[in-house]
Amino acid sequence: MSGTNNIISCPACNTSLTLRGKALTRALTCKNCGVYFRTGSWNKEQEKFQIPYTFEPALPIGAKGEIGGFIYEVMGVVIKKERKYKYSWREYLIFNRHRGYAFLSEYDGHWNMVWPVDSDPRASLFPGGFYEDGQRFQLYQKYSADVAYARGEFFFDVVDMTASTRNEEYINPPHFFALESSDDSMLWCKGEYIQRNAIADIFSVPLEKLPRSVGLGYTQPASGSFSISSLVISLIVLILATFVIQYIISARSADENIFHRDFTSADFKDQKFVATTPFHLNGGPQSIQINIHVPVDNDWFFSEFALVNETTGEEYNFTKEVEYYHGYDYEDGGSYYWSEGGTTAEAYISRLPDGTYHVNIYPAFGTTVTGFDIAIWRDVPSRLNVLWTIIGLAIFPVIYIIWAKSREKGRWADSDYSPYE
Amino acid sequence: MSLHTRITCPGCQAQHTLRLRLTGRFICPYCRAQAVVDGIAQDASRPLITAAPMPDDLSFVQIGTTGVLDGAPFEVIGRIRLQLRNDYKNFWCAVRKEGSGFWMVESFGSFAVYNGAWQPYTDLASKLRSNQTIPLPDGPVTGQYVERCEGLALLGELLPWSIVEPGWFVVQGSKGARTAFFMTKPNVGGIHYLLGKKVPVENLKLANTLPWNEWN
Amino acid sequence: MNLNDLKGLKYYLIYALALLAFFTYSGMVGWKWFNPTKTERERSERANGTHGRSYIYHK
Repeated sequence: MSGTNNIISCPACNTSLTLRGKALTRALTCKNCGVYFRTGSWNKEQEKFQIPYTFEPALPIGAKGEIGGFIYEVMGVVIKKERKYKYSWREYLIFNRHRGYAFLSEYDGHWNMVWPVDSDPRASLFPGGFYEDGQRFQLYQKYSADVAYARGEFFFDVVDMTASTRNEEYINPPHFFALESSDDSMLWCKGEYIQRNAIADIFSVPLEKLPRSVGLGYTQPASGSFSISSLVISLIVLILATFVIQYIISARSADENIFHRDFTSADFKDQKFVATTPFHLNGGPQSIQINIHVPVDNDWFFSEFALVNETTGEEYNFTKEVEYYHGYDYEDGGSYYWSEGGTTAEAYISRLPDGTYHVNIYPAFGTTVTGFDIAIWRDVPSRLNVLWTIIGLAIFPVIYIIWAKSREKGRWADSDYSPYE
Repeated sequence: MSLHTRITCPGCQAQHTLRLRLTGRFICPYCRAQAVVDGIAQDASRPLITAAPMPDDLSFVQIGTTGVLDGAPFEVIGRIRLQLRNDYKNFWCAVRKEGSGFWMVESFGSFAVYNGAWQPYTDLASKLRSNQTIPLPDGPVTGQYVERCEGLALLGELLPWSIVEPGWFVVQGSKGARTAFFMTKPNVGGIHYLLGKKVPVENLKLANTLPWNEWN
Repeated sequence: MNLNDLKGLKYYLIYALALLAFFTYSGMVGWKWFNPTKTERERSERANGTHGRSYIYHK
C-alpha cells in the first residue's frame, strides 16, 4: 500500500478490500475468506482461526457510539485466550481520530473501556501494587494470551503483539491499569468498568444481544454508585450533627427541679398513698423525670405511681421497684462479697402537655425500710436518644460495608494474587 | 536556506517563500519535488528527487493548522510521517512568527513537542530497550518501545532532518512529561535523539484542523 | 467524595436527615425513645382526683 491508495487485495482470495482506517490499518481480516494478514512487508504470513468467520460479535464492526463526547467507531474485534487457564474474552478496537484508539473488553458479560496512557502511572510502589494519584492499585492477574479469532481492521499486528507480550493488571474498581510488555515495548493502559446497559445505549445495540453479566466483574465496583469512603464520611458528619443537635437541645432544656421531698411512714397516716404538691408544666410538651431514692439494705421497696394532670384528668400510671441485697458467699474455703440491685430508681415520662400535675404514690415497704425520697425534674433531655439515633444512622452503612466486603472477597476468588488468601 | 528566501520548484517551477530561519528540506506541495535538500536549493545541475506520496492516515492536523505553544502562536508548514510496524509518528513542522521552528509530534491523538535540534546519543546502544533506563545528560528516561521504521513520507517545509529513508529503528523513552525520540540504523550514522515534552492537545489550542467528525 | 457519590447516597441521606429531624423534634418535646418506664394512660373520673385508677400496670 502506498500513497493515498486505501484499497488492498486479500493475499488468499484476491478480494479487493477498502481500508476504513486508511494508512493507520496495519493488519486486517478479509471480508470474504476471513484470513488475517498484515499491510506491511515484515510478515507475509496469513492466519486462519479455528473459530469460523461466521461468528457474530456483540458489537458489529462499524458500529458507532459516543463516549466522553467523542464518537468512536468499532474497527475490529478479537477473541483472546489465556494460555494457562484457557479462558477467553473479547476485545473490540474502537477509534476516534481526535482521541486515538481504545479497547472495549468483555468477559462474562462485564465490560471495560481501556485506553493507552502516555506514561508509567506508578507513583509509588508497595508489595503487589502501586499508588497512582493517591489511589491504591493492586495486582489482580498476570497472563499471556493468544488471539483465537480476529475480525476487522487493526492499527497494529494484534496477533503477533498478543503472542509476544506479557500482561499485568492492577485494579482499584472501577478503574484499573494494564501493562503490556515485551522485549521491544512497554505499554500502559488505563481502564474503567462500564455497565452493560451503558454499552447497549452507546452503540445502539439491543441489550439482549449483549452477553448476560455473570457474577461480579473483576473491575465492577462492589459498592453501588458511591464509594465506601463517602459512606463513612457521610456517617461521621451525621454523627457529629447528632451531637451538635443534642448539645443545642441540652442547652435550651430547663432541666429544672420542681419537687423534692422525703416521705416517711408518718406521712401516710391512715392512707395507703401520699400525694406530692401540685406543680406546673408550661412552655409546650416536655418530659419529667422522677428520681426515687430508698435507703434499702438487704430489703425491697415497691410502689405504684400515678401522675395526674389536674386540668384534664389524664393519668399516667407506672410502677417502680427498688431493692438492694448484698452479703458474702463462702466457697472453697474463701469468702466472696456480692451485691445486687441499688437504692435508686428513675422514671421518665415523655411529651407531657402543659398543665398542673401531681403524683400519687402507693408504696409497699419491705421489712425494715420506712421512708423514701422523691425528686421531680422537668424538661429533662433524653441522652439515650443520641445512642438510638447513632444506631439508626449506622445500621445501613454497617450492613452495606459487610456486604461490600463479602463481594470484594468474591471478586478475588479468580485471582492468583488475592489479598484474602 | 533561511527565512524569506524565495525558491523555484525544480519540478513544476512554482514559486515558494521559505518561512523557517533554517530550512533543512522543502517538498513542493504541488509536485512533491524536493526543492531544498539538506539546506541547499535544488537546481537543474542536480538530479530531481521526488518524495513518496503522503499516506492518508486520518490525522486531524494538516498543513496550515495553527496553534499556540507557551504563549507564542505557530503554524504547521511541513510534515514527516514515519510508518512504524505497530504505530506511526507524524512530525509536524511548526514555525513561529520570527522564523524559529519546532516539531509537534502526534500519534493516535497523543501529542509531544520537540523544540531543539537532533543531538548525538553517546551512551551504549544496548540501553535503548523498552523498560530500561536510558541515560541522557539532563536526566534519564525509561524506554517505552523499539520499532522499525517501515515507511517515511515528507511534505512541505521542514527543519533539518537527515534520515529520509526507511529501515531505521526508532526508540521512544519518557519519564513523566519528558520524552525522547531516538533514531538509529545499525552500523550506519550513529544514534541521534530529540528531547521534548508531552503536551495535552487542548493546551496547543489548535485551529484550522480537519473537521471534528470527518470520516472519509 | 464527589457529587456523584452524593447522588448515589441520596436515599440514605434522605433517611438520615429524616431521622435527625425526628431526633430534633423528640428533643424539643421531651420524647424518650424506647422508654423503659412503661406507663398506662387513662382518664380519671375526677379531674383533680387523687385515686382515679382502675388498673395499675405492674412491671
